[in-house]
Amino acid sequence: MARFRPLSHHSLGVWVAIASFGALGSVLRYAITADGGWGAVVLANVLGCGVLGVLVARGRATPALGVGFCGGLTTFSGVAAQALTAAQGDAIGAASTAGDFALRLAPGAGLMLAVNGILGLVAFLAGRHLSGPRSSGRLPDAELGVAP
Amino acid sequence: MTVSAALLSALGGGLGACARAFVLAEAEAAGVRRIDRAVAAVNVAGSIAAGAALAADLSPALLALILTGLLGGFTTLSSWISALAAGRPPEERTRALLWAAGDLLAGLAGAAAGYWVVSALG
Repeated sequence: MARFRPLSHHSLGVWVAIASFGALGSVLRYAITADGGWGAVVLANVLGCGVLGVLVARGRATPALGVGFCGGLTTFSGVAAQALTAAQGDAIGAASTAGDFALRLAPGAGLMLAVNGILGLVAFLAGRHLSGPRSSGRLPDAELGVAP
Repeated sequence: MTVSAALLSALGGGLGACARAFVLAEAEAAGVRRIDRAVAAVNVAGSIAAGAALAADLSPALLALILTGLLGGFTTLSSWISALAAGRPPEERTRALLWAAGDLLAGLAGAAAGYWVVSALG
C-alpha cells in the first residue's frame, strides 16, 4: 500500500511556506507572461534562475524561496506549452502521425527550449557569481525540496 | 489578464510547488541518488500533462489554474538549472550537458505526445 506521509519530509509550516511562495512566484510569472509572447516566458525563467543563483551564493536557498518562489516563477512545462502553441498552427494540420508531428515541431520548439535553458543557466551562474563566493558545488538540499 | 485568472494561477502554483517538493522528497527517501534526474522526470511528466491540457480546449479559467498554475508550479527550470550547474569534475561536464539536452528534448517530446494523444482522442 502506498504511503502518504508528507509531513515526514517537512513540518507543516514549511509546506505552507512552499505553497505560499510557490503561489507568489506563479502569480508573478502569470503577470509577466499573460500578455507577452514566448520572450516573456524566457524573462520569467531568467529572472527566477538569476534569483536562485543569488540565493544559493548567499546560502538563502530555503524551501520557501528556492523551491517555492523560484520554482513557481520558473517553468519547464510552460516553455514546452509555449513552443507547442507557437508551432501548432502549421504543424498540427499537416502532421499525419505522432512522429511526423514531433519532427515538424522540433526545429522551432527545440530552439525555444534551448534558449530558455542556456539563458537560464547564464542567469543562474551570473547571480551566483555576482553575489558571493562560489558555493562548494554540492547542491543544497533545500533548493531541491529534499529534507536536509 | 484578469484578477480571477491571477488568483487561480496562484492557487495552482502553490499546489504545484508542494507537489514537486513532495515528489522530490519521496524520490530522495526512496534512495534516488541523482535528484537532478528526479527533477527532469518531474519536468517531463509536467510537460506531457501540459501538452494534454493545451489540446483539451479548456476554458481560460481552467487554463490559468491547470496550465499556468498547477503545471507551471510543478515543473521548474531553476532547480533543474541549479542541478546542472552544481560543481562537477571536468570529465563529467560533457555528460551533464548531454543529459541537459536530452531533458529538453524529452520535455518537448512529452508535450507533443500529450497534445497528440488528446487531439487524437478528441
